[in-house]
Amino acid sequence: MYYEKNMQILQEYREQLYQLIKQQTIENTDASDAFVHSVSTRTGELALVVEKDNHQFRLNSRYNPQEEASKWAEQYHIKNLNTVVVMFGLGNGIFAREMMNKLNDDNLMIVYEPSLKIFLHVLEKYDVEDILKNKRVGIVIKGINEFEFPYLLSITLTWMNLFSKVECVHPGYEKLFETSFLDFKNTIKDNTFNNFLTKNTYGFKGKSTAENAFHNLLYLADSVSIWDLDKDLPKDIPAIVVAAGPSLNKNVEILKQAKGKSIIFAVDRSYETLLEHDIEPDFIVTLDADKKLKYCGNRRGFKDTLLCKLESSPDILDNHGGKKIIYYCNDFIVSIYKKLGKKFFNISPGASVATAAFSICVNLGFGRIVFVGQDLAYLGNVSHADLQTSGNVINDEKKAIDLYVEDIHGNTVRTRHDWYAFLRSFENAIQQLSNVDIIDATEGGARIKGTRILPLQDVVDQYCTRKFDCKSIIDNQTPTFHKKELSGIYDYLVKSRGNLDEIIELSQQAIKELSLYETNRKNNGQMLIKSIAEINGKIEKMPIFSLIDEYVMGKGANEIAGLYFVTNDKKTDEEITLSNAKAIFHNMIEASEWVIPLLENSIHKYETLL
Amino acid sequence: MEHLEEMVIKTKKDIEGVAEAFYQQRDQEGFENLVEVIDVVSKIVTSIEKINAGYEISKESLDLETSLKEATEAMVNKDTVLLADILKYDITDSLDNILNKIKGQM
Repeated sequence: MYYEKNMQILQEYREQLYQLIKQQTIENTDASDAFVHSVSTRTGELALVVEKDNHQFRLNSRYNPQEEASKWAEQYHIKNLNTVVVMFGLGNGIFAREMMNKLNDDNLMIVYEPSLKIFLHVLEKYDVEDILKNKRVGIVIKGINEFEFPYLLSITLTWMNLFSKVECVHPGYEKLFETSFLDFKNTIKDNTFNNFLTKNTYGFKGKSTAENAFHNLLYLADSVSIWDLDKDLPKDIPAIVVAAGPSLNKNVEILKQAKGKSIIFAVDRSYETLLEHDIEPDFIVTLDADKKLKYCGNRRGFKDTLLCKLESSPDILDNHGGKKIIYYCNDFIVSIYKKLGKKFFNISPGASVATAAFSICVNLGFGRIVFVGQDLAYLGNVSHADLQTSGNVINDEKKAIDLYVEDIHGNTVRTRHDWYAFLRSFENAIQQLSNVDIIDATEGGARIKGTRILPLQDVVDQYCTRKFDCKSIIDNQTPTFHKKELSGIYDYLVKSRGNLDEIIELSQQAIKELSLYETNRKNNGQMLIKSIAEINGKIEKMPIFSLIDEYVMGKGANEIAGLYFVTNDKKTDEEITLSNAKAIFHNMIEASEWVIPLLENSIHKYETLL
Repeated sequence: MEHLEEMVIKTKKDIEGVAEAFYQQRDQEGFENLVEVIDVVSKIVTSIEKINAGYEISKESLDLETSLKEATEAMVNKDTVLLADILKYDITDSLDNILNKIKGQM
């Protein structure tokens, strides 16, 4: 009836989903023996019925489906800005449509349909053109594109609008799809978890990120971009990511056999353990802004090649005497690469140095990635390999919330809240990497879904068979920026100094306008909003803004999140918005004034290089 | 008679609330309030039977009893949406029909 039209709309508005659905047939659909059909109701509309396990589940009223859907939707109120509606069950679209019709321009909706059978039946029997066409509605179908669900959540529900989420369940779906519903809830929970971690990270690390960027800026002159190295690395030999989990001590010696027949990416904390066993990794990966040298080999002047985020710890970068290869930097620095015509785009590191190492390997295109020491769990009471060998068999000093997950043997193992987030992050990423063979050779720890479990010796015997000289490739790399181009960096920094004065001036102007409005509410509120938006636009266009933004986000996280909340009282909303907006601009001035001496110091350093 | 009319009007309103609770999957609230609604509907049925002797409303009364049985069945099967439908449409219609017939025949 409606299949052709619905598919036509799908092709036009959701090409990727259309292609994935076309590859499916009804026989490939969910493995259950469910039978889906529709019955007529008293009002002439159709109601969905699913027969499963000798039970009949009616998913709509058999009297008046429209009235049922309207009444159901009345309980949900969308009043906050940037609200995201997350719905379990599309059904025949009647409930989803009620929610969709409540959306304001800045709201979004994600619908998760756990049954491809139902979705295909609905495409046939129901006109869902309006839903398929709606660009503010994301559709996830189990068996087709469920791997997109965590990603969609992560880009729409951040720590800023987390409490504006509206969660709803299509009547009847929770009972009918118990396991899928649990998965759905767990994915949302994981996203919430990650957002709390992110918000805390901004709170603690916003300032040090900016500080480190300026401190380390001088290293940019001699550094190599990851993308310069990329073309010289063969992708058909194994990439081994060595993390610092306690299981590393079990099989670290075997890595000697892999050296020279694989590329070993060691996270900073695993470096010490490797050196104790006379193993030099090909790359050390570092990420954290405040990690001490003692957690990266603890050897001043160490020369093994460092893969670093430019804002990584100065304690590590200052004590490193070898080649620095940049895989990530703040947008302020990315602009330098672009201005000087260099190919560079960031490799997103995720939340940990291990996820960063993994992300590097994926982005470089390795066909086989092996995890070693990737416990993401305690081994007894031990959190890291270096703590075990040092005799300090106690937890890392970090305060943590304990959780329990499945280990590689199917038993339960203790983990902690941040490792749990990293575990889910790995699993979400792996779900989308169908062409990469990811082997977990940790021989312990949490089970990472999507990986093949294999002892490290087997990995070495089967896949580390071809000799490869990584060191000579690295040695042949020349700095990304030639000496002549350093003046370009200098000019850019000088211009940015001027931008900081502008930001201070514009912020002061915004505060003045907000204060004026506060004292005389008869002034035109719309004009004020327009003016503030223009000021924001000008500030955000300046490259240096991305650095002070880190500082502002860290300091004003609550004020920024508060901007998204809407109460039912216009006066209260206005007062909250004014107060939060003024606080943010004050933070902007404070951040700019704090950055000025750091930037001027960098300018002097580059001047000496010219 | 007036008392019966008042009972029907109030019950219809209560039924609306119970049905809404079930449509919105607030099942516990729905069942709690349903108890009172069924009590009152039973009283209405009893009142009607007393009045019945003088009026031809046996069919409407029978419809109401049938709807109550169906509602009970829906309750046992935990089909709260069907229960809400029966309450909101069938039982309410039956009550209206009974009332109109009684008024018409007075």
